Amino acid sequence: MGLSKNTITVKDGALGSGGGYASNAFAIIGISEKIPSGIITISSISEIEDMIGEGQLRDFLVDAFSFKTPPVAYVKVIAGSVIGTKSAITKTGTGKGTFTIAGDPRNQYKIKITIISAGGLNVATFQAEVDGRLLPKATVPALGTGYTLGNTGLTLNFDDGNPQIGETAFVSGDTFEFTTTAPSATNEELLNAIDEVFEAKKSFRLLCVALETDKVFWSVFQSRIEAETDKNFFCRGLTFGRDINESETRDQYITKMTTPEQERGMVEGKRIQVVLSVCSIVDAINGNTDYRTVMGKYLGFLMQNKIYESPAKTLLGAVGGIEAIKKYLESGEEKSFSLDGHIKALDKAGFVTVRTYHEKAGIYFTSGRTLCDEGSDFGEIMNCFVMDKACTVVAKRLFNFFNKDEDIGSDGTILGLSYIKAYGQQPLDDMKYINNEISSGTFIVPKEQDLLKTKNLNYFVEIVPKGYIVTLTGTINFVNPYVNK
Amino acid sequence: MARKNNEELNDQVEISETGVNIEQPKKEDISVSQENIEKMQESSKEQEESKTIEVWKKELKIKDWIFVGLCTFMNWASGKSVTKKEFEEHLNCFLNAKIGG
Repeated sequence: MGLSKNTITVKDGALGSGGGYASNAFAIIGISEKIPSGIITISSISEIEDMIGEGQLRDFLVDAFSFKTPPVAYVKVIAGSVIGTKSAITKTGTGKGTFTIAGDPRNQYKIKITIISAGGLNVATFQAEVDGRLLPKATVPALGTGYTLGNTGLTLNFDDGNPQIGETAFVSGDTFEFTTTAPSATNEELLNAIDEVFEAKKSFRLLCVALETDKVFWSVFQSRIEAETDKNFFCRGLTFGRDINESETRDQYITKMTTPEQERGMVEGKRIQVVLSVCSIVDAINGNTDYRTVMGKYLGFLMQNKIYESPAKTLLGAVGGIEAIKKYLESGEEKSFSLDGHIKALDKAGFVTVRTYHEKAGIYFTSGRTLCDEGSDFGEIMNCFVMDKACTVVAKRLFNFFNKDEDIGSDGTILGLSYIKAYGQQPLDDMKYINNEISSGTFIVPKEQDLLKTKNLNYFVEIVPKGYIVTLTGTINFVNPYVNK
Repeated sequence: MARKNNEELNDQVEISETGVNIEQPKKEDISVSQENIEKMQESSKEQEESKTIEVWKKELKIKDWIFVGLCTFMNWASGKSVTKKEFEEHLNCFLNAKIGG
């Protein structure tokens, strides 16, 4: 006798071209200041900083927990051996002094130091600004005494620049600016962390990688998550791609990101979503506003809504906490992505983006695209979640059938067929009538089965998903009632 | 090739004899060394032999998702032939590469 196994084959019917499911839980992997061992559970926004400290992962979690209904997060923090980089310092003003930057950045920062009152070391005062958030005014420290720049992981070591007579080390209004990139990890480190998350056997509907990724990782991610379906664990993956860099225009960026031979790659990722939009986002803990990918907001939005609801459903309202879509300096002008050109192209290529509407203020998600062909049944996340849940609840329900004895009738068929059908139908009825997640679902067990010979029960599940109104086409005209009399 | 290596080994034995505190290797030690040489030669031959990446994946028991990532990383298409050494070097390179390139 073979090992008991329930083999579920998910079929894509290409409609677009022609119970134990943890709907409020997600798993997330990222880099942070504190590195707790194993996988920790976070269920409230107030726990985030205490448990993981500062860093990019903190930002995503804060965004994900910024909605009314808090999700449950299974968090795996990795050390990440790729340290963040620090740009050169851009100085304005006449002072002779400067500083060097020690330490490794814990996140992507935009830092500005402004001299408030003139003088030398231990005399002049300054104020630091991290991502637009002002830190308390401080005295330029004496030589050899570093200034700890908030919780960034950086220390500034000031030097007066040896001013001559008539010169000043630090002049009021002098500014110093620099940027940093967030630390990252290697493919191996991340893959090991993903293995650890899956081995923990937690129930979640999304596995989120809070690191900037590219087509190489997207291909790995899709394949890794797909492999879990062999164990009847069904979830989806979420990550984010790079933003525009300073040396390219919006058009160049869009071409690179949407061309298969370039950065889009050939990945057919039905199980993964990649967020590309960057917005000015209000931090739900400290009230600070800075530019971040909208991945954390997207994650929280998905978790707060029903599994069958599109993240682009306008009835849900605009996404809270997003102030503006990022603009990019091009030919001396600040420009954002065009809706009909750039956003449409990114959406078609399978990326998650945000948009605005003429009819109402606020920022909305364009769609719930997965990184695959838009004509696929799984081209949007709602159908993916619904299918994952159906597979999960059916698999759990049928667990009791492994090695179960059945009476065989005189014609060789299973006698208790109607009971089996009703038993398998129950979770689908729950999805339809209790949770309103599907239009209908039918559990089918073919009558003609030779259980005595095959020791296998064949079944099929047919689900009619919900339909979604993506576009509206109407005609409005005046009518003269007199003519129609 | 094997003969040349044996000659080199004999040379080394002779050099050892001239040493003051070095014991002369026993005959059986030499035969073990010869076995090792043969293994090294086989291993070296294997390193030089080109096989398709699918074959290396199977032989080296590479997980599906790592293989998919490696192929995307290297821009390899199905049927690409490389030596074992090349395969392992590129695999190592992929695993140690920064996420996001």
